[in-house]
Amino acid sequence: MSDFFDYVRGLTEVVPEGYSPQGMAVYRHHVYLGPSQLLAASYPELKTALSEDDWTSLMKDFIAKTRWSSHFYSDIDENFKQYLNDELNESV
Amino acid sequence: MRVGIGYRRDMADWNLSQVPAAFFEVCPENWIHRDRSRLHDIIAAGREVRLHGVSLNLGGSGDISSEFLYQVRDLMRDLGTTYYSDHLASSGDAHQLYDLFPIPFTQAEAYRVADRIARVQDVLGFTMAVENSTYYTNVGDMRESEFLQTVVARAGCHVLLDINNIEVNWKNHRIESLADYVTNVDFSTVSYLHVAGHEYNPRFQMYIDTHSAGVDANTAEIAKALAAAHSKDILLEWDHDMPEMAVINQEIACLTSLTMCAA
Repeated sequence: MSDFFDYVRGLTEVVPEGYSPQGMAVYRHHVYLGPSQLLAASYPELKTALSEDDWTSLMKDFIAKTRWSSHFYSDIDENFKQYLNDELNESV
Repeated sequence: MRVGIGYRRDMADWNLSQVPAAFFEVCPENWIHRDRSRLHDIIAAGREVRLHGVSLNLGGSGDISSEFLYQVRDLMRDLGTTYYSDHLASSGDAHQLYDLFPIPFTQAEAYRVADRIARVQDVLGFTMAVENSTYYTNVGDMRESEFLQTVVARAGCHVLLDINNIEVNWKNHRIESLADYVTNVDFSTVSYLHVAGHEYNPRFQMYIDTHSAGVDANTAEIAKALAAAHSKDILLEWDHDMPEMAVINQEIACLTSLTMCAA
């Protein structure tokens, strides 16, 4: 199933064998939409400061890289803080 | 047959004594770490609160946390319910992606997931239910109803039969109609039924299980007939774009009455 989850995370554009492009697009959209809406509500200043394209790129990168494990959806906030820290450290 | 409603945060300021639901259902993940006085008020007023989870990742490959299961068990004790369900789906691979992804409809996967459910039940010390889920694309050589029955028979779990999900899958894939699907279900294993609304999304050219609309008339009538024939309760899920209380009450009245529902 790793090719399936690579696709929904946006790590590959190759639709996994046997699955429909249409259905995979729905899953990728859902995986993007949830965290993006949650973080837009948690970080309204950041959302406003970025262009639509930059926000989308940031969310896509976050979703591609993070490995969430919490059962509690709202912990995405903490994961996002960690992600920003990691990204800043990497770029220094 | 009784009709319940999924409790959502939008109902926080509703006077629930005006909602004619026989029981409520909540997502345990939303309440494990939160103040539960609202739920205790519901119970004190004589109505049951059942649990329906979203994050167990029964179809995934990561370990299922015993710590989380103990938290669920404690919540059940606190609320005095014996009902706990989650989805026959993955929440991600080894990680959470907070959505519900399809499990390939194969016997090997049915057995693997059934063994995970059995382990969950061992930790919890009671029987849980699994909900048949919507899927937007999947692989495998089994029909969905056959896959579900194989899992349930091996795991010894119950089924939370979601009538809307069967209808959405039929509209999207044209493999098993609702009428065909339910003939393959052993109702002695069914805990209760779910109904909800779905919508067509022109961008994806698929019906999406949005839980943001009223119940499709066909879905409501079949759910009512099955509930009456097998003495099962029905729960209405409305999770997004929550309408005013009168609309919810109308949906509950429609599901409770023997007359036809308006579409």
